[in-house]
Amino acid sequence: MTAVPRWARLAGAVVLTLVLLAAAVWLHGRLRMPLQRQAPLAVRGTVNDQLQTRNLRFTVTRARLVKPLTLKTPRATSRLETPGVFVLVEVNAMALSEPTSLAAIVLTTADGHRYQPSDRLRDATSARLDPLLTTRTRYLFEIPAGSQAGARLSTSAGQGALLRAGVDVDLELGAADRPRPVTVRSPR
Amino acid sequence: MAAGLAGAALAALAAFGGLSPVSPDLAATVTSGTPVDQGRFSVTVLGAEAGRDSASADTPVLVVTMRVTNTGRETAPLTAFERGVGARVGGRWLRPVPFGSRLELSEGETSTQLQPGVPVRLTKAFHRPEALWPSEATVELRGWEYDRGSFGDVDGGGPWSVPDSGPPVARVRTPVTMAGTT
Repeated sequence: MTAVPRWARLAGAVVLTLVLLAAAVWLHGRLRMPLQRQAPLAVRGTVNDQLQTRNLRFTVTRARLVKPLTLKTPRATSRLETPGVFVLVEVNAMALSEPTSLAAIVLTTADGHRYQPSDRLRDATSARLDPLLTTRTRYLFEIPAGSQAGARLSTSAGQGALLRAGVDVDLELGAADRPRPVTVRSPR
Repeated sequence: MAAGLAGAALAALAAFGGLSPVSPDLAATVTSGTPVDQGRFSVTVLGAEAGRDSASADTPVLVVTMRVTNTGRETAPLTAFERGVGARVGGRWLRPVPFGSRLELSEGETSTQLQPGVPVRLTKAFHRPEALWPSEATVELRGWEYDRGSFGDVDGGGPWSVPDSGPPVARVRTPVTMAGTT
C-alpha cells in the first residue's frame, strides 16, 4: 500500500471540513422558524385527551369558533368583534411535581401561521400551576375566517429549552364549522 | 511608483465591479388609500388629522389613521409595527408620540397585537409643532427584512428588522383634516 502524501491528507481534511460546514449551514437554513428550532419535543393529542409530560398534565376540554364574543366584567359588558373569527379554547392544566406555568401558548393553523392568545380577553394570559391542583383556564385566539381546519394548540411548561416539556393538541375544528355567539364572564 | 499603485488599485476595483453606486431612491410616492406592502405588514393610509391629545394635557398631535394587515406568519406586537412608520410635514420630521398607536376596537377595548391575516384599523400619533396646521402630510413606510438565521432581538421583532438606511418602501401623501381634540 502506497503511503498517502502528507499534503493530500491535509487537503482532504480541509475539503471534508468545508463540506461539513456547508452541510451544517444548509441544514440550518432548511429548518423552520427560530421558535420552532428551539421548541420542545411535544406529546400530541386531541380534544379531551389527557396529555402528560414530565411536570404537566394538560387537557383541552373544549374548542369552538366564536363570533361575536360578549365579555361581561364587573364593570362593563363589551362585544368583541373581528373581521376574522375567534377560537375559544378551554383548558385544564396541572403541575405534577413542582409549581410551573404554561409558556409559549400558540395556535398554529394548517398553513403554518402562529397565533398568540389575544390580549382582548385579559384573564387568560398567564396561568400559574401548582402541583396536583387542576387549574381551569381559557385562551382566545383571533384568526382569519375559514382558516380553522386543522388548527392545533401547543404549549409547554418548565424552564429552559432542554428541560421544557410540551403538548400539542389538535383542536378538531372543521372547515365547515360556523362561529356562534358566546358570552363569557371575566373577573377583569 | 505612486502612479503604479494607483493604477493597480484602479485595475483591482475595475476587476471586482467598481465601487458600489449610492442606491437610488426608488421609493414610490403614492396617495392615501393605496395599499403598501412593507414585507411584514400591508398598510393603507386612510387619512390624517391635526388636533390635540385630550388624554395628554392637550399636546398638539398629528394622528394618522391606517388599515393594517399583518402579512407575516406570527402574531406581531403593535410596538414592532410602529418602528416602520414615520411622518413628515414638508421637509420636517415629526417625533412619534411614545406608545402613541391604538387599535380602533369597540368601546373600552384595547389590544397591542396584530394577528396574521386579520386586518385592523389603527391610529398612530405624532407630536406636532404648536403653530403647524398642515393641509398635507407624508407618511413614510419602511420595508421589513426577515433573517431566518437570526434568533431575534428582545424587542418583539424576532428575526424581523427594519433597516435604518436606504429609502423607504413608499411615501404616502395624505391630506390632513382639522380636529378640535382627538
